[in-house]
Amino acid sequence: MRDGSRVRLGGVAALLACLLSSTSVAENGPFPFTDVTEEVGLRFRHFNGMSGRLYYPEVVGSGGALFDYDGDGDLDVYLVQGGMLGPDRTIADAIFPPEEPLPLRDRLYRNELIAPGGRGGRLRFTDVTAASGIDAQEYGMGVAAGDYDNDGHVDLYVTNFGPNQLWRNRGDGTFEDVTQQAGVGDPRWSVSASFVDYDGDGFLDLAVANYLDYSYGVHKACLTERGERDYCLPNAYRPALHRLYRNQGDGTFRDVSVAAGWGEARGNGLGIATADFDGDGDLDIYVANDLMPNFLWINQGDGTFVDEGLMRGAALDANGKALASMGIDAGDFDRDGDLDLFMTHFTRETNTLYVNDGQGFFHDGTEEAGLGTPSWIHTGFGTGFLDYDLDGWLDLLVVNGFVTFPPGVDRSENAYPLDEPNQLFRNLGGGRFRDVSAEAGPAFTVSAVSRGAAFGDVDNDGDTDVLLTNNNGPARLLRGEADTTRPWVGLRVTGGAGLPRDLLGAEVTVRFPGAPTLVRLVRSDGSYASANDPRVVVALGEAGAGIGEVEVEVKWPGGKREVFTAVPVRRYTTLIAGEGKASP
Amino acid sequence: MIGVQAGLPPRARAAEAQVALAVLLAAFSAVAFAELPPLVEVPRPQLQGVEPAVEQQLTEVRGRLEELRARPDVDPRELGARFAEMGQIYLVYDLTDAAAAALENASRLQPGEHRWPYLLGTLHEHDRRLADAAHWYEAAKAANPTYLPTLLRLGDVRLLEGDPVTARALYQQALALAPDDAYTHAALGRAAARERRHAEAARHFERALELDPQATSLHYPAAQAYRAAGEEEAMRRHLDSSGSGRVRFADPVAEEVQRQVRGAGAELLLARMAMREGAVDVAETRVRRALELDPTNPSAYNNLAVVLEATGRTDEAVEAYSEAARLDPDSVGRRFTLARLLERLGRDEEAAGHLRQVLRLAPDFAEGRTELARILTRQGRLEEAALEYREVLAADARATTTRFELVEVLERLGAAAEARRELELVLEGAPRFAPAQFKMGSVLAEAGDYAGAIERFERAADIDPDLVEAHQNLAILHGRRGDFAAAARHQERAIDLGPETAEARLTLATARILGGELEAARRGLEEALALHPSDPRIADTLARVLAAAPDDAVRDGAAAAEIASKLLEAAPSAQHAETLAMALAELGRYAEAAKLQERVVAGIESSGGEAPGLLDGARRRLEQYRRGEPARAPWLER
Repeated sequence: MRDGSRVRLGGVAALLACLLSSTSVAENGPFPFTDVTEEVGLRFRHFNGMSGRLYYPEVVGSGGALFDYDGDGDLDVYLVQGGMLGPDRTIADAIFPPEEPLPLRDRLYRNELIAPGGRGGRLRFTDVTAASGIDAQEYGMGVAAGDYDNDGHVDLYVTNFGPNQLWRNRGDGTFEDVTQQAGVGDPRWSVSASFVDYDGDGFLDLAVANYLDYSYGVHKACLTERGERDYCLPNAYRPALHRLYRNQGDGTFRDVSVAAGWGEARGNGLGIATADFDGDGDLDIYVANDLMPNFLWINQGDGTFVDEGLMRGAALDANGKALASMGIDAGDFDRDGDLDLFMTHFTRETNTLYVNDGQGFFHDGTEEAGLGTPSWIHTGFGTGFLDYDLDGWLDLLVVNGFVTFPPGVDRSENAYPLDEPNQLFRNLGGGRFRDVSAEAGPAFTVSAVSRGAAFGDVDNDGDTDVLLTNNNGPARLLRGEADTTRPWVGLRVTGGAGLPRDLLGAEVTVRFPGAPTLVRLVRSDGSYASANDPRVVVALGEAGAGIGEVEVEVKWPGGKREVFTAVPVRRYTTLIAGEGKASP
Repeated sequence: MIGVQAGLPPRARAAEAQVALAVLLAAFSAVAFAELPPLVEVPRPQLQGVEPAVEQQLTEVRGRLEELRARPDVDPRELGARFAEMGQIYLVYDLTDAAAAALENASRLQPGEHRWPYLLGTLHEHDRRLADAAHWYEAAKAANPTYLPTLLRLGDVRLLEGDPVTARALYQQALALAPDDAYTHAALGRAAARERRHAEAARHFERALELDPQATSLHYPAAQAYRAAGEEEAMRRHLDSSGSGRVRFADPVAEEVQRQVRGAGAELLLARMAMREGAVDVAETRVRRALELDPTNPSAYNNLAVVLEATGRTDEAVEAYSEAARLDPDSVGRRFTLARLLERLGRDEEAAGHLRQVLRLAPDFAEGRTELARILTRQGRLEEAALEYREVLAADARATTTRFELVEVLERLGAAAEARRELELVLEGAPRFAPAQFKMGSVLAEAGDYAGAIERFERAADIDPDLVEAHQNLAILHGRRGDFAAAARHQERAIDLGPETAEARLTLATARILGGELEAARRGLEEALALHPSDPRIADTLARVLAAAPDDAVRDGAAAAEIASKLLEAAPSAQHAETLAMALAELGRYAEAAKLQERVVAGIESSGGEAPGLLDGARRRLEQYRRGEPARAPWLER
C-alpha cells in the first residue's frame, strides 16, 4: 500500500520551498550543459516495441556512440534502435508507435563541424545511414567502436537482443557487415562490448558482456508484492555466458572464452570497462553484473584471466551485498595516479565508487565520497567520469531511468512511468563529490528513461559533451559549456603509420611545474551500451594557469612508457607511439 | 511562525513549515486544542483495494482519535497515545506520509517518549533522508539513551553522513549496553574499516560472526579488512564463506509495530516483501501470523509452502500446498503448483493425479496438460503421452516445444515418419529453435544425408553457439566426408566449449592427422597428454605421430620411444608394442624393431586375426624393418 496523499504533500512542500527560498535554485545559468539536440539536427527517437506484455528487453536498451567514422577530425553519432518485440506482435500492437521511418534501423549521423577538405563547418548532424550501407535492423542494445583491422578507420560492433553485428568501416564513408566471416555474431542477448587488445598483439580483441538467457519461450509474467504486473528482475532468468573473442589479425576472431577462463562464468552482464587495473601493464576487464557479484577479470599475461573481483574488493558493496550493476566507468577521480571504478545501480541501492589502492585492490568509498544518498532513489544506467568544469578534477554524470514500475503510479494514465531526471556530481577534491544537478539547468530537470551516455568533445572546443540515449524517447546532445579559456590539453594517442588507430587502454599523465597528478585513461568503452570519444581532455586546473605547454607521459597498453615534451595547451595533439622519448 | 523551531535540519524545517501551513488550514476548520502543542494534519490515505480487516482497523483507530480530539479538555498524553497508535498502524501498512504525521504529533504530545521519534527516524532513514533521521534518532536518544537500536541506527546514519568518529562513539555506547550483540560488533567493524583501522575492523567482524554465524554477508567485509591488514590467508578463508545472510539486532519497538497488523492479507504482503529482501525467517513468521488471523486462508497456506520450499522443507511444503488446494478446490494454480513440486520430488504418480484434477477444472490449460504428458513419457506410457500432446496441439498448433516433445515421444514409439513430419512442422514454425535443428540434423545423418545433416547442425550451432554436441557431430560428419580441416575446426570449437575430455582431444588429433596437419596434431596431442597424462590412447597416438609422421620436422624418434616404452611397460599390448617398434625403426634400430614387430604379428595371428587389415599392415611393416626402412604414416594404411 502506498500513501495516496504523497503527491499532494510533495506539491505543497515544493510550493512552500519556493516561497521560502527563492534563491536556492539558479534560474538563469550559466549552466554546465545546454541541450542542443534540436539546433544540431539530431532527430532520433528510440522505439522499445512495448505492447503490454512487458517483454524484458524493452526496458534495457539502447545506447549510442560518439566516433569519427569518416576520419575528418570530428565526432559522428551512431544511435541504436529497438524494434517490435514478441513473436506474434506487429508494429500495430505497439503502445507507443514508432516515430522513425520504417523499417526501423540504427542510424548514423555525420558531424558537419569539419567540412570536406578540412574547412570549417558548423556543429550539425546529417543522417547518412542509407549512404553508409549500415542496415542494422535487429533489436539493438548497444555499440562498441574500435578499429579492429588496423586500417585507420573505426569499425562498429553492435550488440543486440539477437545476433550481434560487426560493421567494418571501408574508409570511404561506407560499412560492410563482416559478422559472418569475422565469427563474432554472438546470438546471446548482449548489451555492452569493448574492443580491447588483451593479448598485446596489436589487434583489438572483443569482450562482450551478455545479459540473460532470455527468449520469448521463457518469458515470465512477474508481479509486485501487491500482485500488479511488472517487469521481472534479472533473477527470474538464467545469467548469460560472456564472450571473449581473440582477433586473429586476418579479419577473423576466435571465441577463446573457455580457454581464457571465462567458460563457466555466467553473469547478468550490462556494463564493461577495460584498463590496467592492477598496474602490471596488460589490460584487465571489468564486467558489471546486474544483481550478481561483478567480475574483475585480471589478465594473467598468458591469454587467460582470473576473476579476482571478490578478492580485490570490487565485486560487492561494503556490506557484502551484490548490487544491480548497470553502467560503469574507470578514472582517477582522486588524483592518486590509479584507476578507480564507478558504477550505477538500482533504486534503493547506492551507486558505488570503488577506490583503487594503487595495487589493483579496491574499497567501497561511496559514502565517504558523498555519492550514496543522492543515488538512493534512482536507477542509474550510463555514466562517465568527465571534467565538466575544467578544474582538473574528474566529475561524474549519471543518467537514470527506472526498470520497474514505481509503486502507486496510475498506469492507465502513463503506460511507461519509468522516467527520472539525470544527475551531475561535481568533484570537490579531497575525495568528495556534491550532487549539483539542481543547479545544472534544464538538462538535469528533464525526466526521461535514460539508458546510454556517450562522452566526447563533439565541437572540438576542449570540453566534454554528452550524447544521451533515452528508452522510448529522443536521443539528446548536451553541449558542454565549460570556460575553455581555462588551460586544457587535448590528446589523441595512436600507433602511427604502423598501427594507425587509437591505442585504447593507454594512460596519459600530464606534467608541468607544480602540477598535481593528472592521469587519464584512453577509452571508448565504459558507460552503458555506448562508445565514447577515445581522445582525452585534461584540464590543468588552477596550477596550470599561464602554462603554455606540458609534458605528457604515455603508458601504452603492455606497460611501456614514453614521454612527449612541449605538448601545447588548449588544442588537440596526436601522440604517436615511438615518436616520444622512452621512459623507464 | 507557528510551529517552526530553531535548530532543526533542513528537511525537518520544511516539514515544520508544512505543519505550519496545515495548522493554518486547520484553524479554519475551527478545531482547537487547549494547551496542546501545534499538531500536524494527518493525511487520510486512500483505502481502495485494502482488505476489509485492515480498512476496519484503520477506520477504528481514526475514529478513536477523532473521538478523543472532540473532547474539550483532552489530556495531551492520552491524545499522544492515540496518535502513536495510529502512526504505528499506518507505518506497518507502509502509509508513510500519514504515519510520519501521526508519529510526529505523538512525539510532540509525549515529549519524553523515545519510541515515536525512534520510529520517525526509521521512516526517514528508510528513504535516506539522513538529516531528518538523525534529528529524530537524537530526540529518541535524549528520551532514552539506553535503547540499543537507537544508538545503532543513529550510528549507521552518522556513518552514512561520513562521520565515522561519532558513529564509533555511538556503537561503543551500544557495546557497553550489549557486549555480545553481533550487529554492534559488525557496526564497529564498519566504522573501523572506514577509519582504515583494518585489524580492529577484522576483529569486530570475527566477533560478530562468532555471535551470529548465520550472518554470512559479514565474511566479505571481514575478508576486505584482512586483505587490507595484509592477512591473505584469513582473507581467503572469509571469502570462501561469504554469503548473503544479514546481521540483525533485536528491536522491540519495531516488533511492536509489526504486531499491529490485523489483516491476513497485509501480513502476506509484508511476508512477500520480506521474501524479496531475502529475510525468509521474517517471511515465515508473517505467514504464520496470517494463518493465525485467518486459518482458512488458502493464499496463506500457499505462501507458507513457498517459504517452506525455499528453506528445503519440501515435505512440509507439499502439505501446505495440499491444504491450500483443499481450501480452494477450484484453484487451478494452487493444484498445479503442488503437482510441479511433487514432480520435482519424484512423486510422479501423485503429481499426475493432481494434474488430472487440474485438467478437469480447466481442460484448456495447456501447461498442465503438457506437464501430464511429460510425466506419462517418463513413466513410459508413450501412447497416452502422445494423446495428451496432440490435445495441446489441437488447441494451439504453434506450441513449438510441445510439438518437439511429441516428436521425441513418436521416435520412441518407432513412428519415425510421423516424427519427421512433426519435426518439419516444428521447424516451419520456429526455424530458430536450435534443438529442433539439431534433431533434424541427427535424423538426416541417420538417413545418410550428410550434407543435409551438416547444414542443420550448422544452423543449430549458429543459433545456440554453446551447443557442444552440434560441433561434435559436425566434426564427425565432416570427417566422414573427408573434409578434415572442417572436422578439426568444429572439434576445436567443441573443445573450446568443453567439457574437457580425452575423447574430444583424440577426435581433434585424428582429424588433424588425417588432414595432414601433423605439426598441429603433435602440438595438440602434447597438450592433451599434459591434460590427460594417464590416458594410453593419447600417449599412443602421440608416440605414433612422433615415430612415423611423413614430416621430418614433426618426427622425434627418441621422444616416441620414451613414450612407447613407458606405455608398453604399463600396459603390454600388441598395439603398444607396434608403436614402440615404429619408434625403434625411426631411431634406426631396425633389428630391435623387427624383433618386436615379429611378436606383434604373432600376437595378432594368435588372437584369431579378426582384423585382417591390421595383420596385413603389421606384416608389411615387419618387412620394412627387415629391409631397414622406417614406418611412415601407418594410419593411412587402414
